[in-house]
Amino acid sequence: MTEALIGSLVIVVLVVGLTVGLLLLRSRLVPDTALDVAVNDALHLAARRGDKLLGVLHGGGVMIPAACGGSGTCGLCRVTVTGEGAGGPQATERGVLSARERRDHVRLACQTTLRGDCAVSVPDDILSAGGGFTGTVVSARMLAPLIREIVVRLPEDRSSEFLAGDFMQITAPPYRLDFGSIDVPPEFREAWEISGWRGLRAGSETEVTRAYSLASRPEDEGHAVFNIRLAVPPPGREDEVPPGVVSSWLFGVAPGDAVTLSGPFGEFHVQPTAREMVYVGGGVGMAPLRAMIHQELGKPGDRRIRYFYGARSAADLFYSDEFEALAAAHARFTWSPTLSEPAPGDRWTGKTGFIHQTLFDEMRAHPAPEECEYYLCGPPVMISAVLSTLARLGVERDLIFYDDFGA
Amino acid sequence: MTGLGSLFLTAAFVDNMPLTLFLGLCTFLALSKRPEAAVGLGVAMTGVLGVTVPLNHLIYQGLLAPGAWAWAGMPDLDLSYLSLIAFIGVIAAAVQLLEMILDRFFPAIHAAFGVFLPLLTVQCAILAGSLFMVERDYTLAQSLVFGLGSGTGFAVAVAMLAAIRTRLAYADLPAGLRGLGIAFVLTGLMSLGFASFAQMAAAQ
Repeated sequence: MTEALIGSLVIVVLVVGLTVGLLLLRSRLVPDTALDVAVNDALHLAARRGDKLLGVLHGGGVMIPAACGGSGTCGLCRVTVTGEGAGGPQATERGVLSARERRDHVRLACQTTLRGDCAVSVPDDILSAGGGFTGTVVSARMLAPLIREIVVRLPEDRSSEFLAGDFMQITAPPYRLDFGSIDVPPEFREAWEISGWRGLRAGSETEVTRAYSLASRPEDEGHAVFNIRLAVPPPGREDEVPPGVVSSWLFGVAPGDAVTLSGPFGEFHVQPTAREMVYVGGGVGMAPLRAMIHQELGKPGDRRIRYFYGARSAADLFYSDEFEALAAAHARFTWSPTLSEPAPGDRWTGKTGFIHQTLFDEMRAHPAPEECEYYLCGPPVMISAVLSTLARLGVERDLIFYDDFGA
Repeated sequence: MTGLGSLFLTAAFVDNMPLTLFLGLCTFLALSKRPEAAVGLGVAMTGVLGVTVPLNHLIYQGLLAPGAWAWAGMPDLDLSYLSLIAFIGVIAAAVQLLEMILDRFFPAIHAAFGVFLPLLTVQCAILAGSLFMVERDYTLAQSLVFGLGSGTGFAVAVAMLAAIRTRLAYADLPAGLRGLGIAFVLTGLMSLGFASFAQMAAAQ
């Protein structure tokens, strides 16, 4: 009995003593001080030691994009941070930031823990963009079994001007959605029944924000057009992997619903040169490329444009009539859709195979493929296949521009 | 050579923690990619071992060892089975303190450690330091010297491995050996080299 008592007492006193010692040292070593974060020398935000820079900026209304939600993978929250308070780049940032960016004090805001005062510079348009704003859905239609086009009317005071290739952020409120209630047009019903997507459910307890590329054409003035791909779980893993939070919500919205947006933002733009342009897209990689092609064809000039687009079957191929009409109207534009697995009923007479193979076959006959500019957008596997195809064609990396978050 | 001096050299080289006893290999391999991180780890290990071994010595001899409570009229009381929980508590506190110090004064090293800093709490080499101290019945002075010696040995070994791995950035290795593969081979070769210290000790 005495032994148990003394033993317990020894351990309790020891642990309490260590804890008290650590608390005393902590109060000396880690002062809980208020910090000042200067944004573009114009705005001063208050922060506390240990806060993440992204949270401080968002709290202060500086809506820098963060498509991945602050996990350090999308690389969109790049800001230039100077001052002692930011510390050095974390290991998570090394994979995303180039050596040149690290030297120029570029950091990912979501990975920067504040330790002192610092000065942040962000692009001016982000500062003036302010927080989010609310648009109204005017039309929503399914283009392919998993792709939905959503047109949002922007508020009167928002300009719908954007650089083709830009994206906007859409914030989904807390919601619950049963996939059985999604209105699927008759032509895609079979695909939904076979895949069992009807039985899925999605939802979120908190607000979630994701980035979507704008697919707007010049004639869509005052509106923002998005192509949303429903992120369904991989086959056989429906129980473990939930469907995409924001894409599921967007499959549930109907005309008249309000949508919270911010932006536009973006780094993926058409270069102001006279080079021939080659666009390669797959899936919803369509969106930014559609915006770019429409804007480019609207400009005077004779820049040659080729568009290679890969889809699985005819049901997954969308906007095809639109691009055929453009190709008929403009001699400098060619449209080459390729199906990887045409269904027997598709009566497909066009090219089959993977899009990088079509690209290689066509560009091999080109007199100077290394002189063209390449714009890619699609799933990561497509991007890597096309990058190695372009390497075989002798194209240097500085003529290749791509955006691969729109998988 | 005095007893303490030779104890220091024995702890550092003959009984080198990672290369002779194969203790603490996880951090040894993970943080030896870059010399700065390796030197940081070496200093941290020396600090933690240099603090925890003598502190645990005091706790063990004063509270836990058989007969420690003789002054209170309980000479038969043996609390030595509580030593593990006490040692780990002390080590956890020391690592927490280290984390705060690094975070405050050396943020670059703090960032380089990443998850391996909290993992030092359960690093086998550090606990082994305290367990060897009990097993070999060191005095307080010996404990201090043994802790510092083991830490120095760890620091020397990890700095050497990091230096070699940095040089290997320019070597044309077979693809399968790049990264950790060659680090394991290097550790093995360095371990063979350190085995010669054991021969010297045996020959004396």
